[in-house]
Amino acid sequence: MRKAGFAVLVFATLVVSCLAGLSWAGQGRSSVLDLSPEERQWLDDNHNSIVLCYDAAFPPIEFRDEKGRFAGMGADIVSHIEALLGVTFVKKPTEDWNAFLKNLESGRVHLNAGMASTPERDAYAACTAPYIKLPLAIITSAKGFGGGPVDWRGLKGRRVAVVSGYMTESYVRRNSAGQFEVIAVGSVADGLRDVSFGVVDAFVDNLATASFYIEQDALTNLRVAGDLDAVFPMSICVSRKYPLLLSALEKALAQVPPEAIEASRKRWIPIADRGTLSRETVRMLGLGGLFVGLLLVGLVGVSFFLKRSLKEKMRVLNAAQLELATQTERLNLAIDATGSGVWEYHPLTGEHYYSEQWYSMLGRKAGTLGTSLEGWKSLLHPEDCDAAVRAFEGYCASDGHGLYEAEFRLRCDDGDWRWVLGKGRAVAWDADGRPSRIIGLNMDIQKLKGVQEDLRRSEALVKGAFDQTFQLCALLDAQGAVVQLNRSATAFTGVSFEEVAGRPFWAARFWPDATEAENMLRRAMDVARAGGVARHEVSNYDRHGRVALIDFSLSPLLGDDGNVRFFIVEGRDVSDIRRAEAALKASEAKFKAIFNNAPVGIFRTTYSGRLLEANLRLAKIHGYASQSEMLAECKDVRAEIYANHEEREAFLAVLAAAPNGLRMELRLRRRNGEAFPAIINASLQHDAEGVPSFIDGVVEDITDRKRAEGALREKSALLEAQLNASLDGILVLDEAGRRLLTNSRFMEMFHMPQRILDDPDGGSLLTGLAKLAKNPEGFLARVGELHATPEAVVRDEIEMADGRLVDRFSGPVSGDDGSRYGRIWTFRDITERVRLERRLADQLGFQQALLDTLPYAVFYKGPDTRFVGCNRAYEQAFGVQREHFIGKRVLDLEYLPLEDRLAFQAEDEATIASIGLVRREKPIPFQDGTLHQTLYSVSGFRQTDGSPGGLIGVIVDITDRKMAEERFSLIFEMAPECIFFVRTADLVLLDTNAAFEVISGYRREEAVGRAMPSLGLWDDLAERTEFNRHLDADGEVKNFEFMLRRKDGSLRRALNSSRTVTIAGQACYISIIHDITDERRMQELLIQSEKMMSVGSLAAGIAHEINNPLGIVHQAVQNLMQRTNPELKRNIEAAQAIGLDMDLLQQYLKARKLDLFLQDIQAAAMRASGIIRNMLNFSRRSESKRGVCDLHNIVEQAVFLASSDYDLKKSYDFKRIEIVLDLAKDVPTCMCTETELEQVLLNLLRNSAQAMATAGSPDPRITIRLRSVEGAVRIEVADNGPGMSAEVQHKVFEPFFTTKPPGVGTGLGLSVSYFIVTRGHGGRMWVESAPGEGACFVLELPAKQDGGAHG
Amino acid sequence: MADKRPCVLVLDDEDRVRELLIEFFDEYDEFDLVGAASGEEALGVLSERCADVCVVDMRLPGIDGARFIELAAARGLCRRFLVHTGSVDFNLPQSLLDLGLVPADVFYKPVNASELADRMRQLLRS
Repeated sequence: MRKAGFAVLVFATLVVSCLAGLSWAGQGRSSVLDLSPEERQWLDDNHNSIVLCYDAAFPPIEFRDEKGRFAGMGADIVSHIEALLGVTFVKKPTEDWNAFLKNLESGRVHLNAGMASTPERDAYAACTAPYIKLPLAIITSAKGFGGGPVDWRGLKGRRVAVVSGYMTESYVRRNSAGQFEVIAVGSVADGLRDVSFGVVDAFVDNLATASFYIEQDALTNLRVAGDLDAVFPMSICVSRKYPLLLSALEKALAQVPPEAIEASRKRWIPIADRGTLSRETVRMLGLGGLFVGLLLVGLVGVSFFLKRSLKEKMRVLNAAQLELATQTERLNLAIDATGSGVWEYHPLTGEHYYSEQWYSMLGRKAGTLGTSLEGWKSLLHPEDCDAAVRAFEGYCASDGHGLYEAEFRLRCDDGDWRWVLGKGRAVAWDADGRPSRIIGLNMDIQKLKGVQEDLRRSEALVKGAFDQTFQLCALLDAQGAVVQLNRSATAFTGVSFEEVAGRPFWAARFWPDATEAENMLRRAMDVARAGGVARHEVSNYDRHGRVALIDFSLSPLLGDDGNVRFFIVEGRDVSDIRRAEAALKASEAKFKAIFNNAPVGIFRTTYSGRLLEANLRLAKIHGYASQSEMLAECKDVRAEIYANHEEREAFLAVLAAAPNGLRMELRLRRRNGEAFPAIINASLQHDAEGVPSFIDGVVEDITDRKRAEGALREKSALLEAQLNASLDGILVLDEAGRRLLTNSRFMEMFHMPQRILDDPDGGSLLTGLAKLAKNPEGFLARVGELHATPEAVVRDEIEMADGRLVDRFSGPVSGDDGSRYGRIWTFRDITERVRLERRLADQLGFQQALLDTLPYAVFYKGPDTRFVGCNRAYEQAFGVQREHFIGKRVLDLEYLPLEDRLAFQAEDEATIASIGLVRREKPIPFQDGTLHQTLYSVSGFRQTDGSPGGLIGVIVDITDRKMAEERFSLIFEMAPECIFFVRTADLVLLDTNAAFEVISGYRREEAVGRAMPSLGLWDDLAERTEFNRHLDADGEVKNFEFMLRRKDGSLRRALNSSRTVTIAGQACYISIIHDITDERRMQELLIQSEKMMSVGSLAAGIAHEINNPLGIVHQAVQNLMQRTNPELKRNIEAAQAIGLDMDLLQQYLKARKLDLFLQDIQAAAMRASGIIRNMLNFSRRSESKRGVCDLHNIVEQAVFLASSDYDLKKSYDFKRIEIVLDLAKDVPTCMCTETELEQVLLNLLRNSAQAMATAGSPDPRITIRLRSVEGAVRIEVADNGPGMSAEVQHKVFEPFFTTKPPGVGTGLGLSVSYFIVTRGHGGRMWVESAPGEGACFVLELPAKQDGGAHG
Repeated sequence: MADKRPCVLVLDDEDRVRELLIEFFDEYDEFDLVGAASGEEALGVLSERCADVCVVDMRLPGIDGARFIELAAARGLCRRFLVHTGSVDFNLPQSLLDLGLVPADVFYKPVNASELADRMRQLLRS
């Protein structure tokens, strides 16, 4: 809705201002387009070059639409004008308004159709009258400025945006007066976006454009916050440079019909048709209309349903009236039946009417009371009068809503009083809302009152009785709810009647568990309903919260109909009774339990000997299964219980003397007749007359005890014998430290004097013992400690003062049942044993240390071939620990291969049996996983009795020694230098290595054993003499350079280093020969290459300097040729000007060969620059072009190029030369630049061809060989030409060195080739030649590292 | 437009090289020719009037030819350049490749001036 409201505001404002612009239009409506001849002429002249520039972003006046066309109201008007003037403007959009203004000023742009005239613009542009005026507005964000209207003052201190260069900019700046900041932006869209994003606070521009963008971009967070009292008049403006265009335009604009302008405005700024309603508002109205329509349809429907409903209501009403009439009749009947009387009272008049029934109710004659209220009052009982009158008057004074009700007594005609219930209701009211008419009924309730009174009296009686009883009583209704609770019950439970009245009985808080109580009561009520009385013992809380036991009963009270009306609950507190009963029972049970479970037999007999009581234990003692069996079967204790009569007699006699209790051991008899010892404790009871009557007693069977005592005696004797036989001294002390026992050994060991033994106290024994110890304090402390911890068991050694060592053991002496009797000490003299042990240990330690010190692995085995021990070297060698394999046979050592184990085992057995010796070299795998070369030896030995005692083995690791031997032999053999030994005495070659064969050409077999001079290795014998002299003098010679002659006669340059040595007692010398032939050649090449490098870099530096003067020469010649060209216009003109005949000039130039001279100069300059370029070619080589090359292809391509080279063919008769290609198949590939290598080969071919042609060789031949050599590929280009001297060979690669006549070669071909091979490809290049023997150029290129063999 | 001749600037510190080239091109009657002996001077000349093609020597006192081309292009003073150099080992640096120069725009002294003119015409057509 906000948006709709906004739109309304826009259009309302536009309506006011827009049409103002139309006033001018009427003036020229009917006049004709009347252009002056000048105007017409101008238009015709500039027909298609009038430039109209429009703002690409100023909708809806002018803008570039989505198809890139000029659009907007301005565009519409322009199209009319174009039609009228018969011209088409060139339309150019602009994004930069200020740039456009500049162009308008300069005249580059002729006009614009959507701008306002301002004083600044007037200087360079003139405008037509405006065709529309756009109001200016302030746009802010929806919430900005508190949402209220904004004017100039409201903008104070804010940031306000305007479009740069628009009329608004100057207008706003004028009005800002420094009060707010004006920000220029690029376009209306930019300004609106800045407001939207809060970059600025407000934006001022014309309302139409702003609203166009707001609608188009849906900038819903913007609003028109205020309008400014200014308008933006839109005109067509023309650059001042074109006044004729302006006047023509003004005339044309006047001819544009106002309807057309209005139509355009409607199209772009839609308003007038729809009044002040925007499209949005109209849409909303449309929706409203639709809603109203729907509402009407709905109402019609509703009215239809209402009508139907009314009919239905009428029908129901009629039925209700009928019902009412019936009910009135029924009421009258009822009134008659109850003996009630109707009355009616009118409070305003005081009239009171009584019906006939009313009078008859009181036995009075109708109408005797008149028509006033006084009649009724006069009949009221004096006791009830006040209350009844007050109640009635109170009702009359009230608002009369509700019912009047009162009970009172009225006097009958016969003088009796009669209880009456009065009821009434107001049926009419006066203006104040008080009842004006009350109708009522008086009902005779005399009988009811009588019954009620009787009941009350009876209840009081019952209640009195109920409350007085000590029983706890309650009356429950048929559902178990409490109707009454008597005083005893409330007093006992502390629960008042009010608390439980009407609630279920079981819900009362004196029940400990309501659920249980409910279940019990419901069961009880069921019993009572069936006519019974339920009786339970229940628990209730008394008023102190204690649980009381209640003897509870519930009985029914039947009504007249025979159904239960009430339940009577009675209760009696029986807690004390029950408690007493329980205590008695518990006491009895306890006694019974003691009697039955006593561990001794208990009995009661008559004095005469009849058994009255016996417990289970007694029955068991005598061999009966149970008490009852014993009581049944044992008739006479005298014969069946006592073993002999005399003992019983004695027992009775003693009992008679001590009737209160005796203890006696005697023999009793079991059921099977067996006699047993027993102890009887008994007492005698006398009857009232003092005659002995009962014997009560306890019987203890002591058979087992007697047996145990016997066994103990036997054991003690045994122990004592044992003690005295022991080699250990034994001492037993009791818990208190008294001596219980000592054996004879103890006495001997410590020479204890008899008096100490005789002392029953252990104290003196202990101090006596302690004195014998080396450390008496420690001894005593230990003893004290052990007595404090009776359970401790210790074994230790103590040193005695006399040097003896005693092994001491101490432990508790305990019985079978865990009881302790004391502590036993045993002492053993171990002095001798310890001495022997120590000696043995020393010996063994020495032996092991000795073995461990040995660097060889040593092991020894018993006669059963099992390991007995080994030394540390053995452990280390095999990664074992002696404790892990002692006791094992070699067969069990799994780290050895099975075959070895079997062989070793057999050998062990044989060696032990034969007391033999085995010694040999043999490889054995060690712990490090490698096979070690060892010297292995084992030998058997005898024991003292001559039987085999086992074997001892030694393993010596000789791996290092072996390896050293092999290593030196290998070094000697593999050394790249030739090494040999010569015996000084006869100069015989003793030994040499493989390199000797390479360097000398002799095979080793043919050289070793021969005298050195016979091999003729020294080319120059003088050198040999010199060498020998040095060797003899100094014993050694270093790097003696000499020429070595090989077996085939070829010579090598070599260094000889020798030294005299003594080998196996013989004087020898050892020589090392190093071939330096190749090194020397490399050195020479290196020097050469360095020389050339310096030339190359020098050339690069001067190239530029040379090229400039060459350029001048060349350019000057070109200019000369150009300016003597007879066909060029300028030349002809210049010649004409001075009267020169161009044709004659040409003839002169030709005649005097000037044209040729010019050509010479030009050719020479080109050649000079060519030389420089060639010379520097190598400095521009880049490695990036290198790739894997097929050298076969390159060679073939180079030969092809050479054979097709015109110069070669013509000058050197290349066809005559035989080309032999000798290309090995399996040549590795190389990394190289194909074209460069082709150039190199071409150079070499050209070089050979030139050399052979110059020398006139008879059968010229060039052989190209391709070979694989160590790590490289070799290409040889060999000819059979004149060859070259050593001097030439040295210089052949130098730049500018040439043997050819001047002008034939540059002297650079071989240098460039050399650089390509060495620097570009990391290869080598050299020449091998001799005069008359042809020349062979060799180039070697490094093979590609990982590349395989080629093809 | 039709009567307007493309402007060609020749930049070379060697006076005669520059003058001879201008003389040569002038004979064609199709170019407006200006000369400059240094990059700095050339930039001054161009700020007076933009050139359609510049023929640029590389080794110059002050800023070198490559730098001049970069500056002139950046300032919009000229869009087409030809390199005219006495250095045989000259290769187009990346900055010039980025400005659209190709190996065909590089001429080594001494040059066949008519070839240079052909290349200029070719560039001016585009």
